[in-house]
Amino acid sequence: MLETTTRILVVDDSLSLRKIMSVMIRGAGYQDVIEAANGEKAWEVLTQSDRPVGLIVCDWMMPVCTGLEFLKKVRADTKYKDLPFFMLTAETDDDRKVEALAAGATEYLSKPFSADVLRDKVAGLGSLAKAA
Amino acid sequence: MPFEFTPQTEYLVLTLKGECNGDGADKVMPGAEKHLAAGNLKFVVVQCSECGDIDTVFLRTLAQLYKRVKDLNGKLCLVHANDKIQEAIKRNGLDRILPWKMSLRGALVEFGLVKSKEFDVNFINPFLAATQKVLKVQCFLEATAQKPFIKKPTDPPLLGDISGIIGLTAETFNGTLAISFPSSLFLVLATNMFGQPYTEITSEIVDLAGELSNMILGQAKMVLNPLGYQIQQAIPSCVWGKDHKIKHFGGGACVVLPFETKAGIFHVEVISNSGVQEKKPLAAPAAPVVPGKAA
Repeated sequence: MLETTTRILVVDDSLSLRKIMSVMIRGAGYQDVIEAANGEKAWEVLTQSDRPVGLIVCDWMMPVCTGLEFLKKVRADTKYKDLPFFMLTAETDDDRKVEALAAGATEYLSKPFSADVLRDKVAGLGSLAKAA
Repeated sequence: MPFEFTPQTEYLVLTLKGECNGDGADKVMPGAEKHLAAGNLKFVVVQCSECGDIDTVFLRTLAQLYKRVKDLNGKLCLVHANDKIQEAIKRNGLDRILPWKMSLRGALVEFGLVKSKEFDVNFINPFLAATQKVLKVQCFLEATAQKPFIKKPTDPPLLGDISGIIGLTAETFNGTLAISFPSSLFLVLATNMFGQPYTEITSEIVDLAGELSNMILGQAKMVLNPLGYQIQQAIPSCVWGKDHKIKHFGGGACVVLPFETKAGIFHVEVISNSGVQEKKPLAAPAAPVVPGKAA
């Protein structure tokens, strides 16, 4: 399980979904949530954050810079190669999931999903870290 | 094996994959017999969207399958057969017993399971289930489906105060999905989802309708695409305001799916030109006429 003080970056072009994600994450006990509206903004927020980001929760379909493009940029920087990255999408094609995981996504969640599912995925990060 | 069976309520789907040559052809008939008997079925859709070519041996196997369903007073039809497959069928003189249609709907009309001017329940039902799932999981709201109906151009609009719209495109048709809420119901949804009361539609919540349409289409695709619809979704948009209108993209019949909740009634509209043979380019998700609009 991540420390509850972990800073979590939520990336979605939909203001309402960013807010919903933030509510879910805070409800799971993580109060330090920051937001960005696309991959380009997210990169700025990530690299300029005054505290290290411990998890990125990112939508796929966004203008300017998609979630996949942002993920590839994150993974290309050795500083962030192990940073947990959850890819979210309303797309349900298996090909998308394979593409995201191949690009380095830690988890892939299809919308809609409940707060419980997100909480379990975040809890699973601790297991992954212990296993590694 | 380069194929798999997916039984449906009224027909059996045989999905062909990759290059269908003699390999595994001998497994087709035993598999088909098992599924036809288990489901008491007599119609077979041969889904070719994932198939590059069919050789003579495999075509003969399909001819055997045709004969079997004919003995059951049923029919067999290929869908999404590419030019190579169509040529192979003609070359082998099998075009009278292995007919092909451009869409699953076309095959179902051929079988007499769908009237050409009626909407296809196999296409619409996944949208009913998807709407209920999205509302329950994302909005904590149970929605009971009412009887769907076709909206005529002369019918009055059923729209609420805010609508989410998303374009869909496939190999053989284009269309639009719209979900429309009265503002009172939409505010209940937002209140449930955000955990704080909303008494008016604000910029913070307005794009929620579009996102819900996106999720519903994504969930419906999960059921429809394995049947061969090959639907892709566009970017959702949102319109709101009293008397706002939605200009649907697609030009076919508009099927209205009403849902009842404890907070009121809302509607999902699905329109597709699925009877049209040629694919039209998807220029935009929809062209809403709007008092208010959010991307």
